[in-house]
Amino acid sequence: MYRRPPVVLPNGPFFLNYIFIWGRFVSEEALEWGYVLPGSLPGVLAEARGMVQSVLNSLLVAASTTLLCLAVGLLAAYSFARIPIRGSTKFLFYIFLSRLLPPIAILIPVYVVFKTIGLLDTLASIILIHTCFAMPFFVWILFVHFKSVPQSVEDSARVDGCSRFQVLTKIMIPIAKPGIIAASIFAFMISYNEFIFATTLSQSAVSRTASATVSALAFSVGRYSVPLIMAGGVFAILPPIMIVLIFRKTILEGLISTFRR
Amino acid sequence: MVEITLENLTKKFGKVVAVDHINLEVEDKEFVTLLGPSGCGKTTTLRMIGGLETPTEGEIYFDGESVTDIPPHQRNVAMVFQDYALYPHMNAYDNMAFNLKMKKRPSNEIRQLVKETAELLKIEHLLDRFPSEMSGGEKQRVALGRALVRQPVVFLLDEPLSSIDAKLREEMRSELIKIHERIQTTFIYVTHDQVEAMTLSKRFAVMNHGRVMQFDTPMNIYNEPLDIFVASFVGSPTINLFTGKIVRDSTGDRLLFEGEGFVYPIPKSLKLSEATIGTKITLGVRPEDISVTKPRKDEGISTRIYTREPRGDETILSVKFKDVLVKTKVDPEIGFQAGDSVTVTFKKGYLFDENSKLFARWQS
Repeated sequence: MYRRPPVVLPNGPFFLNYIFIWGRFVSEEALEWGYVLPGSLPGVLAEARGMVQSVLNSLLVAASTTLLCLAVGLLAAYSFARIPIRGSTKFLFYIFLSRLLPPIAILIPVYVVFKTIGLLDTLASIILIHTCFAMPFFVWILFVHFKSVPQSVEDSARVDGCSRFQVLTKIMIPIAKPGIIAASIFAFMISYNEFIFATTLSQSAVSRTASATVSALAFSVGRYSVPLIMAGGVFAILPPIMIVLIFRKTILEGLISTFRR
Repeated sequence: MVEITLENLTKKFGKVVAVDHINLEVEDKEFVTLLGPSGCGKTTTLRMIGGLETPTEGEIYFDGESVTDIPPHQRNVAMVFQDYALYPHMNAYDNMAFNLKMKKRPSNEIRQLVKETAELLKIEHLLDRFPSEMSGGEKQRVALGRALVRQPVVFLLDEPLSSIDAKLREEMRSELIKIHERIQTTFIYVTHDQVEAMTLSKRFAVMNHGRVMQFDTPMNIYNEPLDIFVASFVGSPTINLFTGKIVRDSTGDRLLFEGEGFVYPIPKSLKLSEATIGTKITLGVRPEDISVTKPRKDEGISTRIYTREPRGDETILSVKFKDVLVKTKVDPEIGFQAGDSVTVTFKKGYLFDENSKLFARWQS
């Protein structure tokens, strides 16, 4: 890094950064290797040690966001698709419209709101705001899925002995399963990747998510620790990559069926 | 196994009146068809009987007890839909067993019932398949099986045969008749196909604009249509309609129908009241009630053959009265070709008044 002229290939892989990221064995070697500017070691240590905690935070936030989306969004999408309420199509459009707003535009108001209600620097605040971001996508994907199930299938289930809620649990959800999984993964990703709000709303390491911690590393170290930041980044993207690999088939299926219809 | 009574049944969707004060009595074990063009309210009526739509007004009685406010899953009705409506995530067996499972019947009983029904419909080999792995006809059989297996009090069939091909449709038609004979349950069948209505049902109702225009046996509806709509909806090709009026001939002792471009004598046997003379009426003649002969002097309308459409078992000859195209159904061996001069006579005729109601008919 920062070599002139720049080189395309580095000298070789160097795994010590990952060990630093774990927050272990960071000592004088770090200084020796020139990753950390003299004097900033304690700060780096604090941030690096927070990395594992923050990845766990990220997973917790993303999982909670997804669950909230499932709890609220599933019912919302079904209602939009099936229950005729005056103005519901317009409302559905406005929900989608909210995604067109640049998130930065509402950053300060959101900060003030959470400060006022005393949720600042808690995971709950991040979960709430991430749910707000993920919900429109979630509802739209599922709306399309529910809408594509013929009305007669639902009628048939009702004649067959299902109450409205049973129609949802026994017929609609199983049919829309690929879509639900795809939408959930989207919600998870949106939350896991989100940076601006996660950074602004968290102040201490306790409530920091992975993306916020990686950036905190950058601020705490100085220009020579770019490899450390990169190592942090790699570490942070491991969980989502694993999730995508596990659900690869379902995600593809869900996406294809969403756009084919 | 239930008698169904519809009393002033009305359904409005916003300002649109889909079903307009229908009164209908379906006897126990009867096969009744609701026939009508699309948008006439027949499906809405069926859905109200099934409980899928709530009537705006009126009552539905099963065996004299009102079921108007009872949700569909408590009515024990079975419904077969035009697009089969099989549950795509279940195989044929689970589709058929779904209702029984919802009723929490013991599993060996469910297995037995599904097996029996599958045998009846010859679909045992399909039980493991998913709807996406079946053809249209197979899906329709499974859908029928799903309705049969649960032993409902009434079968509601919403155009079940309209999305399968013609040959299969005929097969299924006879099969439906057999099934109805066998299980002895009330059937209500919705279709826009008059052939289905004629062949399947004991009685059928012709509907238009949300109203029942006529409810009677197939032969009565064919022979005595109450109005122009019923007359033109039943029968193929459709009945020929001529607008005109009744006048006296020059001698004054014979009544004539004066249409556009032709005059036709009304048989003396038909007694018409004086009031009808001169008013605007419509004469309806079915294609099969028109005879086409070599040019004659005595009676009938002289014209030329316009087109000839052989259909194998019959031939459709079109002739023109001035600008009006008239279809006739004749013997397939008839010797006339397009362009030949012929004389046309009417064996039967229906006279409809200004409000399109039938007021007289003749048969010669």
